[in-house]
Amino acid sequence: MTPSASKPFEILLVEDNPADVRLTLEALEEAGVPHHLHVASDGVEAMAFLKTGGAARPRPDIVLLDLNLPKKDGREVLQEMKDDDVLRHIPVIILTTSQADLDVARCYQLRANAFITKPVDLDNFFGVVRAINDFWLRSARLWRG
Amino acid sequence: MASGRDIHSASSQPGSAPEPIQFPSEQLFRAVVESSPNGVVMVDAAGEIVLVNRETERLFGYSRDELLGKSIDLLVPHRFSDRHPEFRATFHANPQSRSMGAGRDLFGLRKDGSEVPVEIGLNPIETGGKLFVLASVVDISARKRAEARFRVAVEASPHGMMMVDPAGRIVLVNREIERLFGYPREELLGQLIELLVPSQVRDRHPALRSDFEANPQRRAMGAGRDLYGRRKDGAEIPVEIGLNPIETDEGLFVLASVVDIAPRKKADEELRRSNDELERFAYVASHDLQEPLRTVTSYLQLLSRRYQKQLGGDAAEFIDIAINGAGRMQRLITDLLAFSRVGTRGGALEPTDAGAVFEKTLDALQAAIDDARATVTAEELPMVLADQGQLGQVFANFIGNALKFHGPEPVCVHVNARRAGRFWTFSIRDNGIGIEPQYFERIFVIFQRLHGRDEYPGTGIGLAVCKKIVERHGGRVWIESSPGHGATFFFTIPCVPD
Repeated sequence: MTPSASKPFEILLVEDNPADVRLTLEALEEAGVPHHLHVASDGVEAMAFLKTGGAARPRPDIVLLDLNLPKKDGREVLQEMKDDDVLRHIPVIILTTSQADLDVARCYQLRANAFITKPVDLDNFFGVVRAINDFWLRSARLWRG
Repeated sequence: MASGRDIHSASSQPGSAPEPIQFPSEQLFRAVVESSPNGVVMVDAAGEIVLVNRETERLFGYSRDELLGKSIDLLVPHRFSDRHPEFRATFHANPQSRSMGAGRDLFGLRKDGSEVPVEIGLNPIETGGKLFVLASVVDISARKRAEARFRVAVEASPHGMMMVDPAGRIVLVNREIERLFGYPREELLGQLIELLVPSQVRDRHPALRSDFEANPQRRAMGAGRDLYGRRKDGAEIPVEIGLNPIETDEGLFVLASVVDIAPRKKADEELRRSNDELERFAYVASHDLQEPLRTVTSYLQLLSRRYQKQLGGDAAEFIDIAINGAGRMQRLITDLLAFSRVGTRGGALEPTDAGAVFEKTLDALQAAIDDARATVTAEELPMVLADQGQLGQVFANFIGNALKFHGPEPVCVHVNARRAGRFWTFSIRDNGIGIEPQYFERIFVIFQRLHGRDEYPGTGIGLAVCKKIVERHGGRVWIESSPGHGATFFFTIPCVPD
């Protein structure tokens, strides 16, 4: 646990499917880590959130990023984040339905921090969200500037 | 030889000749002339008919008496009769055997005023210091009719037809050739055939013609290659060409039939495009269908996880049924995706060791084979031209099929391959429950199942995928079986070309 752990984690979820947003929210609730979940439903919105800042848009501690998104897709968001001096250190977890090798290779090349294919089964999905919590929020030490 | 006058005098007009000379062979000679299938007419220097035979009577419709002593001009159509004396004079000036009116169509004038197409051979006969002309007249109306029929048939053919002489010059074309190549026929006749050959092959074409001449046989031209013809406007059109050698005493002529395959090419292309679209559609649809389905499943599971205890007694069962339904749809979509990927995600066909692919498949299936306590054996398998991954899928699906539909005895599967022309025929024999012949076609159709879901699991995709893969390789699949006696699946895969 980081010293500042008492402060809730700021999580940016970039996901266009409201059903998946809600499901992720439920899974995070069950995992029981204090957090604020911010949602961007497309890539443009996500970049606006990351770049504009302000009280309503705190810098996230971690980004959960879907790949297939309207307007600007996840690969572009990933690339722009990793090309940006300020945003580069934020861990980006790709959370997608894609199983394509091509996507996996591409995302790691663009310096994604992890690539996770959304499990179909609910228990497994909850398990994945718990694992993300356990590793990135509980075990890993993040740079919170 | 006897003089004509003597003959006709002896046979037709006794009395008008002063001294009939009797040759021992005269009877014979007369019989020969009389029974000749050609009309025979003998004319004296003044153009007066001195001898005719029976065929001449038939041909012109005159009796012998009406002809003898008359001018030969009687038998010449009026439009030619002006010049006929002049032609006769020319012949007399230089009498030698030859055919009359070389290069022109000749006609005879019949008594009823009609004309008959003829061929005439002229032979000068000198006897007693006088020059006679013996003309043999052949009725060619039957040949002309045949020619006309031939011309009409050629003309009316929906295929382009043309004939090329031994020098490679065009001697005959039909209307379709005019349409195809955009030339009126007078611009084609007499031209070298290379006029119609696209410029990039034009130089090589005379050599190809010599090859054909060296080994003339009826065949399709340019087998395996795409052929194009060059139109007058310079455009190239896809064609199919059949070559038929025609031996004549003037040498080897070639009758070529030319088919415009542009419409077929277009139809093929449209079919391919619509197939591609369909595959893309299946791929996209199944991809996009996954997501809402996952949502349904997830939320049903969330419902069950959080509220099962608060819901009534049947709630758990209902939720299970709904989840099962969604799971089944999930599998159908996954399978549909796999099916569409056969076409869209297939690799190149390369020389592939079927034996190695088979061994690899066996390794992957080992757990399932052990579970079924099955024995899977194979003869030595050949090198084939295949997409390695897809060939493995075919083996896996056929072997998986055998493991699933087993009979009471331990499962035995045997794989073999035999060469049949350009293909290898693989066979996969099992000792399972077998299939009734009326289902032989149906089992290869996607999502067709012969058994209830409780008896045998699966969506009915495996054999459909096999069929699609094999057909992508240019091969085919089929089955031989009878209920209770196992089944043998066959599929063909192309050989590696030498």
